[in-house]
Amino acid sequence: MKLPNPVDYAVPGFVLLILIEMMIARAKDKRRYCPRDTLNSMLMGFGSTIAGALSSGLIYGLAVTLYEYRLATIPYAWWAWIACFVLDDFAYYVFHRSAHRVRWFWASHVNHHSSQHYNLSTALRQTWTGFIAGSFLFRMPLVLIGFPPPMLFFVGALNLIYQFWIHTEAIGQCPRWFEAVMNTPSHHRVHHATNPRYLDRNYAGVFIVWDKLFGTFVAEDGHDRIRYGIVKQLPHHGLLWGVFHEWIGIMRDLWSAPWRAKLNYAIREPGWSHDGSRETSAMIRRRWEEREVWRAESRNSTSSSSAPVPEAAPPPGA
Amino acid sequence: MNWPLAAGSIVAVFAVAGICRWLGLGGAEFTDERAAMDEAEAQVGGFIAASARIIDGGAEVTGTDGRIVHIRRLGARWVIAA
Repeated sequence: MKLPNPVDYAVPGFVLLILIEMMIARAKDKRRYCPRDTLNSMLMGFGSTIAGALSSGLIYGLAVTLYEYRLATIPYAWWAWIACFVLDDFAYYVFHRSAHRVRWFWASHVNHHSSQHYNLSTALRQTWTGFIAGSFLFRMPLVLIGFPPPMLFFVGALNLIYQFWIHTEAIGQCPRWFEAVMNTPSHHRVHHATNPRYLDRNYAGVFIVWDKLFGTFVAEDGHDRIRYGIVKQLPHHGLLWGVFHEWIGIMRDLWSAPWRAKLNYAIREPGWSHDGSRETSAMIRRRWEEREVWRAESRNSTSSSSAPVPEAAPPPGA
Repeated sequence: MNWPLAAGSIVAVFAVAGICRWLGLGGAEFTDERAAMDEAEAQVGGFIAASARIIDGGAEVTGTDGRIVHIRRLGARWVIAA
């Protein structure tokens, strides 16, 4: 069965919604958009479609080959479409979690996160190197189960389209029942945040229930100003640096690290180092938690003794 | 590869970025020293700001440990200057 690519039909809608969001930004907060950042995000999206076109034949060929070894033959029935969509979303969760916890996959995924802005154009900031990273492998178990490759790629495209609208600050909270089940702008703002409490959380694509099920969910706290981007922000708007900088970092580390540590620079979490000279998200979160405890204790001692607390005192572990 | 779509997409990319500029979106400036201190603390691990000085196009933030962090504007956001 030959199915169309739904993303092709969604592109005009993407552009229209971005223009509407720009008008909202103009009225509310002009800093939500930056022309150069928007250009970069959209060029990354364009480059991603070119990279996807170049590799799609190989990926589809692999899927068709693996399909020959399927456990069952699943028909194009309504229930199969639903099952395929849900299971593909679970595969996306596993992929996405790996993309944040394994530097090799992060090198491909990082450009989706490297903007300090969070708007609809950020959604288009897609990878150019997903094929090199092997991201497509996460979907292949579904082919082996017996879902036809055209069905799988179709629902994968629907998943991608769903994720477009959640990249916005223009929408606050959705109805409670919707927030409970679905990935929403609120949940995904948390995912793009660099605030320590939010790092490496909310990996969901469509259904937020995966995060709730596997302990990676954090709700947005309206009191915190969210900062977006990556822990070490990119120093400039260079497009190619944005796309390839983490791959270059891996290569440099593989070259310079001691032999026993080389592989870990590719397969451990981003920020891992053999000599502890860098910080992982867990280390950043721990330091932030220590600092919060210190701040709370400082406030308590101030209120109970009314003695001034020196502002300059460092928190434990700092 | 859908070439007409690809051609339309690249035109749309530059058109949208142009509209973004035409609408006057972007821009950033520190409203006060506290904002600069918050920015430095957010971007530098373990840094606790003690004071800040707003300078043209950025800020110079001094930490409780004596470290000095320079912040410069990048589009509508801030980055740590090398």
